[in-house]
Amino acid sequence: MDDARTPDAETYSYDRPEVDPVTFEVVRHRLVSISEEQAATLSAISGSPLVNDATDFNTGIYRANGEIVTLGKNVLYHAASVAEMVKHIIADCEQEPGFSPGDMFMVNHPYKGALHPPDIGLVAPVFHAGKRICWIGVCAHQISVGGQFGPQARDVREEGLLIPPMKVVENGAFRHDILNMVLENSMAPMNMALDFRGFLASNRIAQQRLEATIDQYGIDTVLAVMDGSIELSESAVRARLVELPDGVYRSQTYLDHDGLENKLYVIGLEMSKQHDRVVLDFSGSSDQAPTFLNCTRSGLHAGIRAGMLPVVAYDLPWNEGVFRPFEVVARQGSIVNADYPAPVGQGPIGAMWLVESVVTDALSKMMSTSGKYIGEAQAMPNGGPDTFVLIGRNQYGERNSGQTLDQAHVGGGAYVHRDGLSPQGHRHIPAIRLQNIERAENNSPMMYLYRRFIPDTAGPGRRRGGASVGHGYILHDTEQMNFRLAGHCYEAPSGLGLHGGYPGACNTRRLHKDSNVRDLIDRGHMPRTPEEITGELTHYPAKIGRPEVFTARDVHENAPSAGGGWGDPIERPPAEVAADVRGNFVSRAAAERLYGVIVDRDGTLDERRTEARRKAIRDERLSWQPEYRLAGAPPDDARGEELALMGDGAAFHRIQGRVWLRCGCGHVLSPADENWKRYLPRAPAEAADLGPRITLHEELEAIRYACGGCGRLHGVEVKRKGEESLFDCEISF
Amino acid sequence: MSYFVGTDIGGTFTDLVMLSDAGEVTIVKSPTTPEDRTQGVLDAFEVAAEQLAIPSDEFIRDLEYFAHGTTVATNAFIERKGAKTGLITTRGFSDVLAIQRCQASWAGMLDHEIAHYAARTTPIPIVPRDLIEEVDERVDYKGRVVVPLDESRAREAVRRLVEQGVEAIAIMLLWSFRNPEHERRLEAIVRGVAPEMFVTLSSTLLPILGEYERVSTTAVNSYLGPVIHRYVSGLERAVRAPGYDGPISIMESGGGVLPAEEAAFQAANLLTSGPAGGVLASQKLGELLGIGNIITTDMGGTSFDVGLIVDGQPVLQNVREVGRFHVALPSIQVTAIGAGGGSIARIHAGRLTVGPESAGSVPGPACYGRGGEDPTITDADVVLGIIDAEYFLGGTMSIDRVKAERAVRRHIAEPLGMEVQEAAAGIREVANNQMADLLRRVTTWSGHDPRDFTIFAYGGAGATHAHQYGAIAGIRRVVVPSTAAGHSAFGAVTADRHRSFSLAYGHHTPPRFRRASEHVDLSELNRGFEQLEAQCRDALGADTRIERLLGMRFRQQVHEIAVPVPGGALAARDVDDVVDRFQERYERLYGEGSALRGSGVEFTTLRTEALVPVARRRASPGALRGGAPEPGARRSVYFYGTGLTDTPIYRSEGLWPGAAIAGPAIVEHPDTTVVVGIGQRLEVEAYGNMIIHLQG
Repeated sequence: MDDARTPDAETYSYDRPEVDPVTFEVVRHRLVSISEEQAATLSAISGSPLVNDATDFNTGIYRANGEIVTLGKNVLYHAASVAEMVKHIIADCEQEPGFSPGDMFMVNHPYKGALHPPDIGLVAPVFHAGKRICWIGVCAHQISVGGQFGPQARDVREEGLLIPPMKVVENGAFRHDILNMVLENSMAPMNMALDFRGFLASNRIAQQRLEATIDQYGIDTVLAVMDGSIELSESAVRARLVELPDGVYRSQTYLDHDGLENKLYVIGLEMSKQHDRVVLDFSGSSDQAPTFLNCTRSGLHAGIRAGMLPVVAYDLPWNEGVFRPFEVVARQGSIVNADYPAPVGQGPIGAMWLVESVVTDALSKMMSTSGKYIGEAQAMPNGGPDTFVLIGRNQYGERNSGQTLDQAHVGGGAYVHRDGLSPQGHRHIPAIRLQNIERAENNSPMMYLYRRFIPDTAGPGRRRGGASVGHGYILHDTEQMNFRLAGHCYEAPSGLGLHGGYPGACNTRRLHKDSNVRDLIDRGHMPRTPEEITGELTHYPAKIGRPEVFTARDVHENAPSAGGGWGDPIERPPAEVAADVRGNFVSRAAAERLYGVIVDRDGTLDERRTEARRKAIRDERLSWQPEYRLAGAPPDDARGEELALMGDGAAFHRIQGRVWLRCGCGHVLSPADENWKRYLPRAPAEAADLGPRITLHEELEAIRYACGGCGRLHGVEVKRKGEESLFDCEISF
Repeated sequence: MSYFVGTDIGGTFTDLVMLSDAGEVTIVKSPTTPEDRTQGVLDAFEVAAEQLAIPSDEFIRDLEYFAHGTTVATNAFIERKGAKTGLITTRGFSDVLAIQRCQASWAGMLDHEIAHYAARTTPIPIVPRDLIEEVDERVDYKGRVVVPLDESRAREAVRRLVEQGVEAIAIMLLWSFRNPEHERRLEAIVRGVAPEMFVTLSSTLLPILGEYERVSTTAVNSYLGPVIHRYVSGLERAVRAPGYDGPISIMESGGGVLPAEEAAFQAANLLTSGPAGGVLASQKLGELLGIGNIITTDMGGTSFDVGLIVDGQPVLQNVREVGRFHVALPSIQVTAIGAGGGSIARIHAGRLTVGPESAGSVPGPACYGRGGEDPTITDADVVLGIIDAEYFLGGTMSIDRVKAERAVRRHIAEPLGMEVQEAAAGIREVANNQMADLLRRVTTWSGHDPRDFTIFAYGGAGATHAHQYGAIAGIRRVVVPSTAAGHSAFGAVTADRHRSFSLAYGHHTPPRFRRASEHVDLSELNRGFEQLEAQCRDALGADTRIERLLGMRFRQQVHEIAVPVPGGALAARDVDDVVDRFQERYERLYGEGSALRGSGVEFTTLRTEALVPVARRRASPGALRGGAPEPGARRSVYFYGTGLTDTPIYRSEGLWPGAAIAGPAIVEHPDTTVVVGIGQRLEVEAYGNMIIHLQG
């Protein structure tokens, strides 16, 4: 992705030696191990839950111009942060103040590499014989960098202290005057100081280890391994691309509410694959928003890389090579490539999140054209978390600190061979650990009513999404707190399904004002379901402009979004649906309406009525009308040559010289070179047709597309009313 | 003559170590009998008795002491063959066990498995949803009852579980560690309905903050309790039958052995006791040899397990992952990577990789001739002439060198355009470097430098590779214990009797506190420790050595460590001292300046560790006698970077205390092959352990 591989007088140039495969693997493993040691050093010193549990940080080694050599398996968005910072450090500081051994540079400027202001990086150039050979860097999310987080900020400069590339370490030691200036701007200066200490120690240890490796194997060998590792990952990805059909794969999804008005923004991707390269074109995305949901170019890269790594590089060393076959096109001033000084504070859980989703979706559509790779394709992850902060004094009379991360207990997207994981947690955090309730209640004046899987959050499908975990709580040992809230996917389902799978739930947050909860408790009963609670019910929108009041008589409930389903839900084995009903993953009503499965009150499956219900659903679908009628299509039993799949429910066949999309039942659906959605019987879906946990924004509609031969569902599309359906899988045959 | 005996059941062999009155150590082996593991133990007794030329019954009857290590808990857990278990928990929280703090999709998986999203799964539950009952009750963070326990509905819940045929019940209520009353009432209700039921209370087993770790550990304990009970009873019957009336001890994972009658109630503590036994054996041997800083390395067929002993004390961990769930009982920390004799070498995406995939024992390495086609580390060792195909496991198992060569040639040498021995040496080099990288990581994680440590190498392949992974990690010395072949059994027989008790203690200081003692309840603290000490003496007798520990963390920070506390009644000054020592210890572990004192300190747990040393005879040192032994043979061995080298071959039985051998050399032992690298030096010390000096 547009790396600047220009030769440079300051960088070390070398004649690349042949490295034998044994030395190569030994040194490669050593480099990975160095980054892990670097990460362990930071985790130990920092001690912060953001670093240790949420793994919202990264460490790595980067080549002289910022190409990633090693990348930790932490928050995947950071696959862009430090690498992009390095490029800006070179651009801004190479002439003045220049780079010397013992220097380190700090950055948190979102237009200069950071993802949003709380992500602070510390990056050190590494030299050999007076020339720059590479960089070592670390970046971690900070609790506070001052400024304000919320839609009230209209300029990135209101969102916290901005640190452009700035030399803060000289001769291996912090410039304390500069450090103090940074710390003075934070509301949590002690934690920040500790993280900085961890940054310095972790960069130092990596530097020492790298130097020892160079002493042992020689500079040219080590550099050859760095460059060679990148090339191996690159060629493995390219080889994979060559095996997949050329074509254009499209995806889009919407972000609701910008904090000022409940307006929709589209994140649109057109992904063209030719031979061994891919162009990711985001030109179809909306113009930037006036508020904090945008992302900068680094954020765009972060979203793309997070989308890409688990789909195309699941078994490869993660480094720059994975990204090289991909070119990125994005309009300056759009929501995915905002113009300075647009605010970007919520980018990682705003535009960036949905960039990851559409990249995952488009790549998965491509992977699912191939029998070899279909198993790596996945439905979109959950639509996005919200930020929820309780403000006030805690039960000890201290300022309540931090935000809850309960909403990260989300179900994952479905695969062809398995359901989404319940729970998976955020897709771009490979190994997340969330807080115990007892820890939360110990730290904040809350008492939880439940932590449980919420029925019908999982996107329905033959393979359903993973179920998300919801929470309900009341205040305890305090009379009142305020809270802030900002999210999306409240009215725009953005955990879309694949190949006939339905979207996962939208986020919901609601407050039962002046409820009966205290009376219930006094009578010896803790309510765990909404039916037990009375009170004036407020459903919150995706974003609220000012803090809302939460009193000791209120009950707060949150049910997060979840991953999409895969395939037609009425093809899910009825016994599995019945098990889902018994396990409270699917409600009886949704089982009947969406899965066509009748489960009795005691949880037993009614096979006879299920069969009848499923037939009724098929019959209804067969009565739907297509936009265009297909003339001159080959008969259902025509012999054809299978050229590519479209998921596991349809395939592209060449029949007498022409390529058609054909349902698994044999029925010919559409010509391959036209948008298949125009030829399939279709019907709009009300929000209730999509399940009880979906809300549809007034400008959105959901359209279902079914096979005219057998009634199999091939797609559930969410789009702006009146717009064309998206031609999502346009293969060049 | 009477004996102290330790036995350990491994995957392939059941090992028996006996210590005689004279301090002699004898190791015998017998095949493990998976259908009834007790049989394998009795077989091993038979073999041992045969060596002494006495009847087995007589040998058993006259034992002085018997300690036993077993993988029964681990196997039953991994294979999900535990008891049908019900769980009773606070209303609203029945999913906590399945959610696993959102670790459900990755807990217990290796890095490369985590990265492969499509292959991720959630674990098979230990308690199915329909056996989880919620009860009305609620206690708050201060231990105050908010909603009293609804006993009549609780009784209904218990009846439902009993009707469904559960064999064990786990009880975990929120905040029970601060107020255990509801859990105790529930236990009484269970007893009323089903007096014989196996019950675990979270507030008894692990009174610590964190409902997920508590419910997971409690459920695991109930799930395994009946299994362990049956197993230990069977074993007990088997050794009591001939008339043995001495103590029986069972190896646990926290640093010692348990009295057999306690084992079922501590079933979760038996998980990973095998690796812990190896570390404990190393600790005892280290005491004997005067070595305090030890990296233990156990390289077997599928994994490479690393433990750490610092200043004579094994490094513990608060939580470990087993069978994809978490057990939060303090245990000896053992970190593993997939590098063992059976680890497979491949070319993947243009790179030579070794492990973590393993050929296991079936089909096993190609050279086993059991249908394995993939080249493994053991195949590489055979191709290089390090392992003698004629003398594998003392010649008891036949090895096919041709098959090993073919596998290495076809899958590695040819694709890379290398000679077959060059490729085999490459496999070894890659694997040894991975292991060295792990040694470095494990030691730096705990705030130490690997160069300050001695490696203890055991397991089938440890001594074969330690000379190289040790050297790469910058370590100077490797000890190959004379008990290496039965190291875990040796650990079992030498380990102290051990119990650990803890009590929640929820106090914290405000931020920027002046004196910590102003914010703790001293009388509660003293009462707590007195209670714990009484528990220790109850469990292990009046002569128990008791260590007191106070668990602490900085508020808003995740690292929690236990700090030793002096005995007797504590005064305010003692508390302030402990806080200072906590800070020192914290900085030693996590780096200078890493202590965030200003955020305040939280006191989490009072813990006592009770130890009773087992009174056994010490081994007596042999007289050192210098001189270089004569090699039994010579052969060409291929060393990485040097190539074929004429190498003397020794047999371990031909060595004596004081014998010295210059590398390159190979010492063949019936259970393993010890390699001394070029420029290295081996000596046999007074107790018969081999020491390899890696830097000559």
